[in-house]
Amino acid sequence: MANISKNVSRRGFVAAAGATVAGLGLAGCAGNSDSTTDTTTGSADSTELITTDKDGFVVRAEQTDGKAPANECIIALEGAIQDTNPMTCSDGNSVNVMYYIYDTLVCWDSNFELQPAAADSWEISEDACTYTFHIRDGITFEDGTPFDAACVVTNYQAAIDPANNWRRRRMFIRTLDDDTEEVRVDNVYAVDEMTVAFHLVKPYSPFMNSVSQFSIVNPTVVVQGNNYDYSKGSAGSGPYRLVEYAQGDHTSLELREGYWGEEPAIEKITFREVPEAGSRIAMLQTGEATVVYPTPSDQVETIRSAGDINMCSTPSNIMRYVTLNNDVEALSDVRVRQAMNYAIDKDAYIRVMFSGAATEATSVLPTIVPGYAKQEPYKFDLEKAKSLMEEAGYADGFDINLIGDNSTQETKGMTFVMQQLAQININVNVQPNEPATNAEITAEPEDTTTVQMWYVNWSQSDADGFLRSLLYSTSLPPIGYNTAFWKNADFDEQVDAGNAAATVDEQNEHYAEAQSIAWEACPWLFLASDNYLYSYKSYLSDVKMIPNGIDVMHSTLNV
Amino acid sequence: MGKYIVKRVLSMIPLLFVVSVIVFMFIHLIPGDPARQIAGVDATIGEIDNIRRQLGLDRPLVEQYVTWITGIFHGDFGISYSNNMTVAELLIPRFPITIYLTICSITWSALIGIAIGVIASINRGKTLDLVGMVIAIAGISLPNFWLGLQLMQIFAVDLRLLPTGGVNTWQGYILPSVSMGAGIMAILARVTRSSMIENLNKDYIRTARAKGLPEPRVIMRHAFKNSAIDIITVTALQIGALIAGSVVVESVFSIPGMGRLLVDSIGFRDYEVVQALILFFSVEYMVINLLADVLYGIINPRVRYE
Amino acid sequence: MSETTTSQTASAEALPKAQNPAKQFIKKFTQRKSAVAGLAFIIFILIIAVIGPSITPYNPNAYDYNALLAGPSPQHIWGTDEFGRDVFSRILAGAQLSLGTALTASVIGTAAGVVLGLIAGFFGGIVDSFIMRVCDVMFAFPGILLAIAIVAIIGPGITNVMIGVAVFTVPSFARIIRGAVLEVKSELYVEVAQSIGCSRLRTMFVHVFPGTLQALIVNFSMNVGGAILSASSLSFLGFGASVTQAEWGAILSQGRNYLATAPHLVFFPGLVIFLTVLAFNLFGDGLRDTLDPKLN
Repeated sequence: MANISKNVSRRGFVAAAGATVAGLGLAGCAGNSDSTTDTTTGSADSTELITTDKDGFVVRAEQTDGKAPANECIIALEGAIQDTNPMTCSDGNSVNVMYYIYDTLVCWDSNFELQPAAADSWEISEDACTYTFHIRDGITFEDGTPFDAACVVTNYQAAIDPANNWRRRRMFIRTLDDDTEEVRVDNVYAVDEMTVAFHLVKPYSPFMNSVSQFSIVNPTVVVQGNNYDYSKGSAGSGPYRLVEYAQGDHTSLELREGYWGEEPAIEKITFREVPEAGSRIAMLQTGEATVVYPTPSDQVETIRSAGDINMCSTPSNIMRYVTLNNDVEALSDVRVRQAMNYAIDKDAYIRVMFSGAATEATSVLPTIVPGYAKQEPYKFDLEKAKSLMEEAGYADGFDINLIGDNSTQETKGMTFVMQQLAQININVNVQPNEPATNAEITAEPEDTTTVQMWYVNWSQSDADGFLRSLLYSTSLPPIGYNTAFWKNADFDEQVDAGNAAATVDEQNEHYAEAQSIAWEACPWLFLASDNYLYSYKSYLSDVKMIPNGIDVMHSTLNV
Repeated sequence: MGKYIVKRVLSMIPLLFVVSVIVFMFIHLIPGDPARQIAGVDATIGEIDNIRRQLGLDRPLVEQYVTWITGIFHGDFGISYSNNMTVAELLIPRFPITIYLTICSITWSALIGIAIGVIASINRGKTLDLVGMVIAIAGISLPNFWLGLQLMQIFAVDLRLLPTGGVNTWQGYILPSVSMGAGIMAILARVTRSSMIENLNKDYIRTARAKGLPEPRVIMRHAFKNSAIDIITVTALQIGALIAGSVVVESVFSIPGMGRLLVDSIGFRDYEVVQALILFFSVEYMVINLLADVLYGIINPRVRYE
Repeated sequence: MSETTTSQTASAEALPKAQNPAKQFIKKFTQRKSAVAGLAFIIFILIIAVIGPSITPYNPNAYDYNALLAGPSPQHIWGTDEFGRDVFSRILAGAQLSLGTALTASVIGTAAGVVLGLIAGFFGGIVDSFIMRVCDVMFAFPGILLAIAIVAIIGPGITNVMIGVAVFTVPSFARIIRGAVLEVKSELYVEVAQSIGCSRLRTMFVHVFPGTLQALIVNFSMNVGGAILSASSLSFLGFGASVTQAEWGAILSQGRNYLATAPHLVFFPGLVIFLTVLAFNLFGDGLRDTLDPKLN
């Protein structure tokens, strides 16, 4: 009896990205990065797939003359803002908050291109080991402390201090498995007052990505280490300051005086934690939220009928796939792995899982990640799949386990894979586990692992973060996430060469080669990259999605 | 009775000790590693080991338990692994929210549930009884996410009378307490009805009626008073469940309550938060049940404490 | 259904004729129309549980990606789910699993709870304190932690749902029965039984236990419904039936994600659960009224 009211659901509040297609005669085209138009003719009860116009809008508000109740932008997010310390935070929502408070030397824009931030220019030396940044003049922290080269050096010293034990230390020094340390950056020094240089031990192409995540803290605060409570007050040089951090509920920021750049128009930004998708939409309708992310994909109709809400869909850096353990006898045959890829109807996957708001995987990298090289997709072809299975001696299929997280969305994806593979007689046993349990299972080393197939997703903003972490031959668990246990010397060689390349073009050439090798060998079932879906009130202008999260820095509110 | 209460309170101490051991073992032995959760996906084993050492998770379980329990005696409930706050900092702001929500939910659901139960029992077998039953069963069967979202649509989105979520104003408590209380209202209506029917057929009620006492007095003073034990038992159980929180209602109305915190903490393997929460829930259950037992005695002096 | 007083008159008249007790029981029970309706629905749903899987209009697992989340139509009278599977077929096929789980779990949990409650209430003292404190501990342990622990120990699957739900049931029944025992114990007839030298065990089962039956029946009938819903929360958390199995609670919980576009996914399983729970309650009430000697 007592349990009736305890209708517990741990992941009940997972983004309800559901399909809205019904009675659709044709396989819907699964959007390219920019635009798709679906004509859904035929069936009377067909509802729409998510389609975007050329600017990425799914719905454009008809009423645009509404007024905001106050000069405050309320951003309703699904998950928690776990951390307010810029040196340790890692979850996407905290990173989003940091974006408004702290400056980094460089930052990414919505096209995944690097932009100047606190540094207005930079150079990389010939040997790709020295990165020099020229800091803008006139940047100050709230208490007037100048943002100069010495300040970056102080931040570096605090970051690597083992006593602080901050996560940002990994940017410079990694602790290896035998407890020895590998130094990546052996020196950070002031070249002159406003020029700072990072010296790398050996070339490491994802380094700029790390720099983009290195928030610079007021040096008088950062030296206090863990004695300073960042949840009580921020210490940045960005346009906003932290006013209130209520864990599990909301985080409020307000504009501060003396920001070096163009002053944002919005005075207050409040992040609210709203786990339930339906509630986020309700808040947007009533104006209790100004921006909502993520927006559930089945709410397009509600949003359209509200009339004063814009909804956008932009490509993401999330890749969804299933790893195929090459040590499993049946999966060790490349023909079987290819057959499995041919047996998956990717268009149906995108429709069922994301209402069309996704892009078919055409490489191991999502299209917007720099270095992406398009491969020839494994077009859904059951005949071909069956004949490959027969060739490999598996015409009658085999039994196999598929693990994944136990959220409704992940379970749905696994069920889809099961349904598809049943077409070529593969009997998939779907086993959803709690995420923390999965983390444990998938960290088992090669000789003791029980993982056969793993339905999972990955997001990174650089190619190395995909290729090396997921497919490199030494990235096997527990070190990396190569649960395909796929080992290919040619692939490794290309990734290493790309890593050490001095120019972007040369690097991309190697990465393209690596992608082609992986694509041919099918260590995964390649599925799709789903879009970011966000919506906002029409009295707010110009909301962008950047790798750091929601960007309203250049938006205006019609008050 | 004073002696009884003292005895009960004292008996809580060994019990809490048992609870602390069980919860500690449970959370530490289920698969999943907080160090891995903290370290994140890009961590090396060395980095994970560092964190494990720093948190003392590499030490023998017994030693970890002793460290934790000693901390509690000094008022230190540990830290949250997921956000570097102390457990106290994390729990204290949630406590009043949970208490208000519990009080609001239980008040309305008890009043209405008991009223439905009494009315149904008096009109036993008539239409009113059946209507009461259907309302009660609907209250239990309605998924509370559905009820919550419908209420939100009507009162927040369409009528704009109440906020969609959050508990920054008193209005914010209305919809969540209605959603949380629906099931309890139903349960109390059923229990009240059945207990009242039983008591209304007892000899003393016939005697009272035969004496010519007015019917309302018979019902309220005699029958209802005797049904109170059942009602209190069930109410106590439900209050306990309410304080442990409803993850669904808390999620629907974006309330930073205990239920969501527990579920998130278990998911993160945030050991010390989970341990503190379970200890807190245990104390709270024990106190409420003690109160219920004491109330039994006040209402029906024939109940003897042994 | 008749008023208390009239039924008393009726039974008083019937008393002199020595009748077959079974016949008498049936006669009394059938006078309560709502109870009969409840029983009829329970029988109907039990039949569905047995033959359901073989009479589904569609294969409950057959997907159709061209008919996702379609509303009710002549082809799919209760619409389709997120994979285009026929909801009506899934509910028919799921009756077995849902009812089976809920009933088994309720019976096991109730039996254990009743025994503990009886012992606690009857013997009192240290035994009572001990059992009740154990119950407190069990209450204090939230279901999700228990579910994760059970899955960690014996692996996922439908058996665990039963165990989980049964475990949830035990402490509440123990407390309710104990409360009832405390009251019955102070009744005159129990004191008389004890004073004339009935053994404690006999007093407990023959004299005290029947006094708690009313509370037991009502709570059991309520619990079956609750168990269906609890099983659904567990399924939703990923600790339930295999994802490929159709189960009412799982269908209902999944529907939450599509409340805006496909309310039928919540409505139909919700309605079926509502009717089933209602039927168990009507039946329980009728049964109690018939069994209650004071009412006859």
